[in-house]
Amino acid sequence: MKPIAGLALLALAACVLALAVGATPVPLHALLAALGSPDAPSAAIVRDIRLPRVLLAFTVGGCLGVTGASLQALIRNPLADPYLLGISGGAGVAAVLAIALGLNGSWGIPLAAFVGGLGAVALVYRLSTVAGRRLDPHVLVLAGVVVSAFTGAIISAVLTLSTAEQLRNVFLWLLGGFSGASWRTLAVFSAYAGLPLLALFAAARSLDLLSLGTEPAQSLGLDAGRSRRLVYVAASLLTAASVAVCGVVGFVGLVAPHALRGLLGPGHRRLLPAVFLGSGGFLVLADAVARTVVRPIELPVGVVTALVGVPLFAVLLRRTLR
Amino acid sequence: MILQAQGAAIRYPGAPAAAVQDVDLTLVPGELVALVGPNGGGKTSLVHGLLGLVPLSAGQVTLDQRPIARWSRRELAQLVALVPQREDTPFSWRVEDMVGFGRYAHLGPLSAMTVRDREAVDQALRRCDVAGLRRRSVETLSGGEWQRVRIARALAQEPALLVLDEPTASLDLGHEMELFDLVAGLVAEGLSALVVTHHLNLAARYAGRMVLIDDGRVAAAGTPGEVMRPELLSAVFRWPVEVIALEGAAHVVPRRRDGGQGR
Repeated sequence: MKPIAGLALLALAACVLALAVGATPVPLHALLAALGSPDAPSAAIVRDIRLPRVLLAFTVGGCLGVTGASLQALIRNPLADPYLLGISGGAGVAAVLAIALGLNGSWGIPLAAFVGGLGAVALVYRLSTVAGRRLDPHVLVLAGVVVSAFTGAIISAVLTLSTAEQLRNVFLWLLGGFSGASWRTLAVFSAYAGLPLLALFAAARSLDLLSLGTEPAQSLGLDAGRSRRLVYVAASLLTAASVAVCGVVGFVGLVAPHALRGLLGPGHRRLLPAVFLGSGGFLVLADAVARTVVRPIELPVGVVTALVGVPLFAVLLRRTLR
Repeated sequence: MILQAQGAAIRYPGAPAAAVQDVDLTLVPGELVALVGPNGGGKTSLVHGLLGLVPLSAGQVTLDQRPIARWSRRELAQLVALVPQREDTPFSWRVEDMVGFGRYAHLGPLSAMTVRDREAVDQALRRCDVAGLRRRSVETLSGGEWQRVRIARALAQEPALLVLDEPTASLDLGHEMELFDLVAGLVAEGLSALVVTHHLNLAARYAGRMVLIDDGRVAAAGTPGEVMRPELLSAVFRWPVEVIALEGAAHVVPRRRDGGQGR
């Protein structure tokens, strides 16, 4: 069996499992009945609550994974992810401001997150090209960290100045989660994420070349500057869309790309679709764990991904430095 | 394929002086030209200018009479291939992937490699004697193997001009000779090559023409015999040298600074 088919099966299994578990467990036969007919006993819980949630977690996970893998090629560092580069911070601060100002609604927060994410990208980009120098991946990471620190400070300020009610909303959102998932959020997310996701898939070969560095990439025929800007903008859009629907969920962009690169090789034409399936499945499982492990309390899904991601990050760091 | 520089100058933003100034240079098919000169003299900058990788601040560079800036990277990569001085990648590419990247400029954005592309890759792998390494990961290669793989990648581009920036910088004597032999063989088959090197003696032996760059300017250009003159090289490298003949080629030998008194 081809690895990609195997991954698709695993991702499907993860989704079925996530549909079955929860406050009311739904056995497999009841699950199939509910999916088949709106009149089945568990139809409401499966169709209206769990299915959109599972699908949202899957698509958000897939997008974060593809974003992470693309950024890793872009800045030529397997430790890169949207958080390290300050994109999530920018999207987060704008979304927090929007929530604190009472600007809610399913289209408003994503839009604010976009603006914030792109603002952070512009700032990071500007910082890393000071004095007319060309984009340096190492300076880029440094600029990302600086911008993250800055957005973190603003978020702290907003939290301090918020009323108790606002504070709770902002705080819950900051932790990240899919408890608000609905068919509508899924539709909004897909509308925002579709085009940038396709753009990254189409840029797979450019990503291969970008990972070699500017000089080799250019001499092999790639307009490196333009490709970089395209990847950076698409990655920011995907990050912002994800942050808007589920808050700050870290490490999803790190886990699957790392595991799958070892399995399939680094070529992005094979890697990106596999990463989409793998990261999607990973976030579905993480969300299932988050809502079942300390029932009836629901853990923020970002806690679960961090518990898996941080040890992996440590291992990766050791390997990168060796 | 004719690559021509006229009065070319490169000045980096914020730099006090130009890195390259007033360079005239013409590369024609079927010759091996060696670009030599002291460290920091502007050799790599000149190469970057010739390939349109940095903008010129004055003068012009044309490829087949079209200004280099008006060529897209893709068009350019089908005619000119560069083996950069150094490069690294964070991922474990296989040798055949790495050489396959040479086909990038010949592929559509979404299309897969055709039989024709695979043939070009196979031929490049064989020509550089790395076909046996094709499934190896590039991080397991020795210095000499890695250089040959990068030259194979350049050949897979099927260029008319091959530019090598210090290809033997980290190689021992035997691998260095092998590499120059390989490049000379490719030139004999009709390719043009521009080789940046610190090895004056190998340059003099293999190149048809040498261009000596010092302080961003062409200090001398011509046949090896015209460039390998002791007073010229002594002045440019700021060290007294002697030039002797060996196997019919000029060889430079450094002397003691005090002018060769004693030993």
